Amino acid sequence: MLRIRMIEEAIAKKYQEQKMRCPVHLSIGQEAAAVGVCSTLKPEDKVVSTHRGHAHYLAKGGSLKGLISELYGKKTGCSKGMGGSMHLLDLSCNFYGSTSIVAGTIPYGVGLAFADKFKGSNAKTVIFFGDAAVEQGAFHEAANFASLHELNVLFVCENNDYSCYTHITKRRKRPGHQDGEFKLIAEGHGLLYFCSLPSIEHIAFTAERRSYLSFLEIPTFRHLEHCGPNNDDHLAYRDPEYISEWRKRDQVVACQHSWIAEIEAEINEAFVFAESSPDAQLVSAYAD
Amino acid sequence: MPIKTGAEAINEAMVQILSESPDYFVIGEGVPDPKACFGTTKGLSEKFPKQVFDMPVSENGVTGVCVGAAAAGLRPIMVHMRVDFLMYAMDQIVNMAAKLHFMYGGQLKCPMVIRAIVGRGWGQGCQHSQHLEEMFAMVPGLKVVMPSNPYNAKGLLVAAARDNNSVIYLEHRWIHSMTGEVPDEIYEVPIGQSRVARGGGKDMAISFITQGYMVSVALKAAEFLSKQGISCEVVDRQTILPWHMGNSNTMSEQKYFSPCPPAPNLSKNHYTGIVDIMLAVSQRLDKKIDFSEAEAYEKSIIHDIPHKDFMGPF
Repeated sequence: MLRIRMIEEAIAKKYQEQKMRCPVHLSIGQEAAAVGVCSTLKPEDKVVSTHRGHAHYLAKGGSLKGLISELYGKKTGCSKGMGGSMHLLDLSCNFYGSTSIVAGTIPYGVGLAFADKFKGSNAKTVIFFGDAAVEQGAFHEAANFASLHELNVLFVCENNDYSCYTHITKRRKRPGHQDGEFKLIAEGHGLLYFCSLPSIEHIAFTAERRSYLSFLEIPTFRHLEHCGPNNDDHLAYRDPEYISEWRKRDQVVACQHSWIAEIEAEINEAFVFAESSPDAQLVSAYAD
Repeated sequence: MPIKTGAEAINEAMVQILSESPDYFVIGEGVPDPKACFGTTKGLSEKFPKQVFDMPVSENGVTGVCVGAAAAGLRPIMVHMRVDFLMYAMDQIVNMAAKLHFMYGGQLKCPMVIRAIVGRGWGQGCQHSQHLEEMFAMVPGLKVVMPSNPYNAKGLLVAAARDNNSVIYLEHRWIHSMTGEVPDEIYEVPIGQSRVARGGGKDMAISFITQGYMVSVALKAAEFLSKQGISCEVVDRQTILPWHMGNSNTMSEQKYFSPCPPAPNLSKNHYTGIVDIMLAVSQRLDKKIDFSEAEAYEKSIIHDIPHKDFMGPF
């Protein structure tokens, strides 16, 4: 978590130089969800993510040099400079991609799980998405398909309460999952809710659970603006009390540790590597 | 050569494709039902029980599932009884299937066929009889094909299934009952090739360039016109996308058929610029034009943020 925080902070700092010419949606504040879930996975398990995907990519083991180079639009980027911050991929650790359409990777992730079942593999797939993705039809369609085919898949909703600047109560009649909308979904799809990370392995992926959709909601808090390297609290779209409550709960606290110097060196090396890497070359839209 | 209907030709192609590799699977609403998608999927679920699936009525979700399955190495074939239903799936088709290879730098591919039937006749109405091939053909990364007879219905479907990209295969429902010569063995009609359905001869007055069922209509029109001394050629496009621009166009094919790359050194060349427009004018008017001023101006502009000269007021 500390490593991801430091990487994201380094990106925010270097972003001002305007050499990373693509939008960035930083994960600062939301690292715990990525680290907690990915720490329960094996290398063969697959992960897909969203526009705010740096933490998921790094927590699954994605290459740091590949990430930074991708932000710089270089040939050495994890997507060869064809993706940018919102389209990360590292097949060496089975991070199967992030995309920039809300809920776009949910059916895609279910498809990865479907392929595993089709081929007789027991690998798991974890699909990360934000709270607004639950408002998309693709979420419900994919949820139904996953339970219909009893796939080995876990849906992880990182709920930071906001879709850009719009609070969840302006988007949903009943945002809570205790009653109302979520409960209706739960009745329809047999959704299960889990609160404690250590029990994911036990409760989400046992065979008898697969006929239900395994859905994990993780309440979380985005420290910076929706898109970009800055704090936007001056826009006053979030209650100051809400902000200070969440900041008190920040899991990454300032500390003195021998790791820090080590991580700093790794980050510096990645930036030097990215900036000195060759420019991207156009890749065809079509596969041979 | 044996005579078969279009539906039989498509069914034969499906059987032969599924036999070719266990990575193929077929999924669609009603694929295994007694009507078997107008007979085109008849017998498949009995012959290939592990490779044939019905699906929830979730066009977008299941298209996304197929993209994921394709990324993981499978070769999905989706079937839709009407192309109009595919409008639900435009997000997954346009943003995922068409972009998967490109947006990850060529590290993934999306070998998928989306068969969709175009309705016509018997009061199908405005939501069951649309020709949307040109709309799909606006999307770089997709391939779009449209058979006009039983022979190319089979050959194009085989080529689409063996292709490593997402291919929208649009079949007009009146092709299903059309008869024609269809070889028993598996064969391809290559994607990217048109065919001359009727030669215009040396006195050719006009050429009809069309696709799908309209090829038959154009052939009949050409027949009537020839009796009045007007010689017509009929070209069956077969493939709608990608197509070749020929030498007369100044824009490179690569530029036209590429999604926008984010890397600044590449996005710089992606958008049509002032010099591009002037070059096209020069070519169209067959006139020498001095580009030096425009070139210098364009070089002075940062390409990926708005320049003050383009911000108005105009």
